Amino acid sequence: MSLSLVVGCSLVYISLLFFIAWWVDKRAERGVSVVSNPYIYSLSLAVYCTAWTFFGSVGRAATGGLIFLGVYLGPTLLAPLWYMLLRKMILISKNQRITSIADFISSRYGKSAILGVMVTVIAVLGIVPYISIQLKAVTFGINTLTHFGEQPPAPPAYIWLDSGFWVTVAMAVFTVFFGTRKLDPNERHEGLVAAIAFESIVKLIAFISVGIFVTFGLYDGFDDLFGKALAVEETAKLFSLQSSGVTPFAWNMLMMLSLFAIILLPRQFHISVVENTSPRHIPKAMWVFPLYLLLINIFVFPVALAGKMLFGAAIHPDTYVLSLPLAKGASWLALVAFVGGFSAATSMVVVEATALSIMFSNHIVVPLLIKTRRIGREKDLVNGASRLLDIRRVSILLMLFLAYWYQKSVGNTYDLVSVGLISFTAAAQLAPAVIGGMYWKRATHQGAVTGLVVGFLVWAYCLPLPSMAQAGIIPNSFIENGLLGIPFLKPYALFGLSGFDPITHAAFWSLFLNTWAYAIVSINTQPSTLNLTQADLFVNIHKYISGQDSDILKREAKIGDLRAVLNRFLGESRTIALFKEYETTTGAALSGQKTAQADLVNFAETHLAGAIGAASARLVLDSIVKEEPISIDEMMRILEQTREAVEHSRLMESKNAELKTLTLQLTNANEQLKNLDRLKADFITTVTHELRTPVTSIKSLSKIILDYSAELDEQRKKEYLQILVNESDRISRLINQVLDIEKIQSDATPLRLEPVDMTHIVRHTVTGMGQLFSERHIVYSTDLPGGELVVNGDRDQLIQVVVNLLSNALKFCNPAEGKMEVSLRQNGPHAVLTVRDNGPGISPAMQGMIFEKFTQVHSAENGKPQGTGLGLFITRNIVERHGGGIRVESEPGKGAAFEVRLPVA
Amino acid sequence: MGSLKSLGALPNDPNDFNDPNDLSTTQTDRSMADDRRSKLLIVFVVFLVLLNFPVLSIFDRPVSPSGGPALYFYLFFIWLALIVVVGLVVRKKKQ
Repeated sequence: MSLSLVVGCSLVYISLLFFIAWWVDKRAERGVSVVSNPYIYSLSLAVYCTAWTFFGSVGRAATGGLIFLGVYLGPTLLAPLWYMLLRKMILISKNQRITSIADFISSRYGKSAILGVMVTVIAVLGIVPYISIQLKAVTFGINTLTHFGEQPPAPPAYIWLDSGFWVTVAMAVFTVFFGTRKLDPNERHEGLVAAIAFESIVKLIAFISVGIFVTFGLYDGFDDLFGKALAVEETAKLFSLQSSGVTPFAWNMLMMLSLFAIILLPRQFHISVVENTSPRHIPKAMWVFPLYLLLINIFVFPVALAGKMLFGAAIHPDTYVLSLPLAKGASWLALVAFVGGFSAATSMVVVEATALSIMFSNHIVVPLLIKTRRIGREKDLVNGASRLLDIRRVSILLMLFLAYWYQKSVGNTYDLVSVGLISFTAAAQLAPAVIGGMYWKRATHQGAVTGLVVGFLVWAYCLPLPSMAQAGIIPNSFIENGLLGIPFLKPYALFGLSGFDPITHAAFWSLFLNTWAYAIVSINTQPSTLNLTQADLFVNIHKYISGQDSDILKREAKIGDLRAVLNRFLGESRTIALFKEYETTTGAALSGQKTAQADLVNFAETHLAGAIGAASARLVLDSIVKEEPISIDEMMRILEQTREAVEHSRLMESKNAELKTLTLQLTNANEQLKNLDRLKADFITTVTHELRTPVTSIKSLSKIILDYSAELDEQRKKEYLQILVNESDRISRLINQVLDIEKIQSDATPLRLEPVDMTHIVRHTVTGMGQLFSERHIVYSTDLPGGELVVNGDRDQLIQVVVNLLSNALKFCNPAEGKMEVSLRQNGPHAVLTVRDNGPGISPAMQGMIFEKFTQVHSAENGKPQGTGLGLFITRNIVERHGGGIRVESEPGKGAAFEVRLPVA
Repeated sequence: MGSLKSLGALPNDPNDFNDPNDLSTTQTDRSMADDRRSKLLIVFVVFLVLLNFPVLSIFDRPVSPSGGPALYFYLFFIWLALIVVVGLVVRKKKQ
C-alpha cells in the first residue's frame, strides 16, 4: 500500500472530524446543544479506549492471555458507583467552576497553589508515556501498512526522515486546532466532544469488522477458533490466567488501577466531569459505557489467538489487527482497521493534551507570570485571553515532543500496554486525595501534599526510572543492587517484596504508602480556614447546591480593580455581560458604588476560576482584594453556630411535639370539665326536684291537718303525720349526703383510725337493712368469713361504705325478681368486699364515670335518674382515704359487681 | 450574602444541575433516590467479589483440551449481567 494512500485517508478522516466539530459548534452558538445527550456522553467517555485498546490489547492477550480484560472490567465495576461518585464530582466542579483534576484537588485543599502544581507535574510526567504509545501505534500502523512483508527500514539518519516525528507534528497541530480554538470560561468544547463520540463509533466498527473477518472469515466461528487454539499448548495456556503467568494479586491490582483510571486520568476527568452537560446523563451512561467496553473487547482474544497461531513469533503481536487482514489479502480492511486505530489514538491525544495544557497553563505558567508580574498588572497587556491560548498551544507542543522523545528513547523497547500501565499507576496516585477529599472532611492540605509526594516518588523510583535505566539513559546498577547498594531499595523488589511484576509491585507500594501518609498527616495537622470551608463545600456539596450561603469570607475590592482584572482575562465584552448578569440577578446597581462586597468578589472569582483555574484566580484577586482575615476561632464559631442552629431546630421540633400532646390533654380536660358542669346542672335540677317533692307533700299534708284538724279521724291523722316524718327524713338524708360531700372535699375531718372488724360491720349492716330487702322482694345471700377480718379504719365511715353499696344494689336490683350477693374474704394483704346485683348493669362508657361526683346512670325505661348521684363518689373517697380501692365489673343487662379492697391491719 | 446559585455561578442552561432524582424536594423522590443508591452499592460489592480472586479461581483452572474457554465465557457473562442489572436499577420508573 502506498504511503500517499494512507496519509490521504488520514487527512480525509481528519477533515471529516473538523467538519463535525465545526457543525456542532455552530449549532451550539445558536443555542442548540447536540452533545447534551446521554448516548453522546457515553460515547465520548469511550475516549478511554485508545490505541492501547485497539492494538495493545491484542498484543497483551497474545502474551498474557485474559489479563488484558482487567483494564476494562475495572471501569465496568465502578459504573454502579457513578450515580454517587461521578455525580458528586460533577456537582462540585460545576459549583466551583473546576476545569481539571488538578483544579479539583487544589480547590478541595483550600485552593492551594502548590497542590495544583504538584498534580500538574504528576499528571504531565505520568501521562507522557501514555501519549507516547499513541504516537508509536500510529507510526507503526503506517509502517505496517506501507512496508508489510518487507524488512523494517533502518532507523533514519535525520529526525525529519522519521515517520514518528511527522506523526507527532501532525498530532500536535491537530490538537492545537481542536483544543485551543477559543477560551471558554467553562472549558466546554462541544465540537470536540462530538468529534470524540464520532471517533468512538468509528473505532468500534473498525475493530468489530476485523474481529468478524478473523473469527468468521479465517475460521468457522468461535468454536472452531477456540478449538484449534486449545489444541496447541502455546495458545491453550492463554485461556487461563494462572497458566499464562498472572498471579491473582496482579489481577486484583489491575482491576483497582483501572477502576481509578476511569475517573482520575486527566482526559477522563475532562470528558466525564468538565464537558458534562447534565448529571442526568449519568444513569444511562452507567450501562451504555460498560456495554461499549464489552463490545469492543469481544474479539480481542480471538484476534490474538488467530495471530499467534498464524504468525507465531514472526510478527509483533501489537500489529496483529493490521497484519491479519494484510496477510490474507484484505488490504481494504487493513485500511479500515488503521483508520479505527488512528481515531482511537487521535481522540486520546487531543483530549489528554488539551486537559493537560489547561492544567499546565492554569497551575504552573499563569501563577508564575502573576508572581513575576508579567501578566495581570501591565497596562500594555490588552488581551490576556489570547495570551492564555498561546500558553496552552506551546504546552501542547512541549508535551507531545516530550512524548516523542520518551517513545524514541524508552518506549520502543516495551509493548504498548506495559508503557500505558505506568501511566495508570501514576494517575492512581491521585485517588486518596480526590476520593478522600470528597468524603472525608478531616483531610488536610498537608495530608494531600505528603500523600502525593510519597506516592509520586515511589512510583517514579519503581517504574519510569528503572525503565529509563534499562534504556541506557541513566546508570542501571541500582536495579540489580538497590540504591546506594542497599538491597532493600531494589526498584523491582522494594523493601524485600519480590515475586510480582513491576506494575503490581509499584502499584501496591505507591498506593499503600500514599494513602497511609495522606491519612496519618491529615489526622495530625490542623486545616487552615479556607481549607475548612472548601472541605465542607466538597463533602456536603448538596447543602450548597440547594442554595445556602457559602461565602463566609468577608472580602472587599474596588469595583474598578475588579473590572480591570476581569477585562484582562475574560475580555471586555464578557466582563460587561458578567456585570450585567450580576446586576440583574442581585438587583444591585454597581455604577454608583466604589467598593465591591464579598458576594461580587466571589462572583468574579468563580468566573475567573473558569478561565485560569481556582488557584490562579485566587492569586490574581489577592492582589486587589482587601480581606478581613477570619481567625480559626471565628471560623469555628461560625461552624458552631450552624451546628447550634441545627440542634436548636431539632429541639424546637421536640418541643412542638410536646406542645401538641399538651394541647390534646387540655382539650380532653376541657371536655371533661364541660361534662362535669353539665352533670352539676343536672344534679342541681335533680336535688331541687327531690327536695321539692317531699316539701310539697309536707306542705300540703300540714295544710290539710291544719285546716281540717277537726274533721280528720285519729287513724288518718296518724297516717299523715307518719308521711310527714318520712318525708322529713328523706330531706335530711339528702342534706346529709350533700354535707358529706362538702366534708370529704374540704378534707376537714381527720380519720379516726382504729382496728375494725369488717365481718362484724358487714353482718350487722346486712341484718339492719334486711327489712328493706324483704320489702322489695330481693333475695340476698351472704358469704362471710368465720372469724374476724380486721382492718385499720374509721368505723362510721366504713359502715357508710357498706350501706352505700347495699343501697346502691337495692336501687338497681331487678324489680321483678331481685337477687343480691354480698361476700367478704381476705385476699393477700387485702380485705375484699363484693356486692353483686342483677340490675340493668352499667355500660363500659359509664363505668369510668360512676365514681365521679353527680353521675347518675339514666335508666333505660323511664329516663329519670334514680338516687342523688353522690353515693358512689362518697364511697370511693372514703375507700381511697383508707388506702384502698374500688372498682366495678359489669355488662349491660347482666348486673353489676362492686368490689372494695381495704388493706388488712 | 447571596448564594452562589443566585449569582449565576451555576450554568443557566436548560439542563440545570438540580437533578430531580438527586435533590428532590418531595419525600418520595428522595427516598427513591436513596433506595437506588443502596441498590447500586450492593451491585458494586457483589460484582467486586464476582470479578476478583478468589472467586475467579473457580473458573481459572489449568486448561485441558476438553476444558474449553471457561474463564473467557465466565468473565463476559458476568460483564453482561452487570450491564443488565445496572440498566434495570437505573431504569426510570413510569409514574
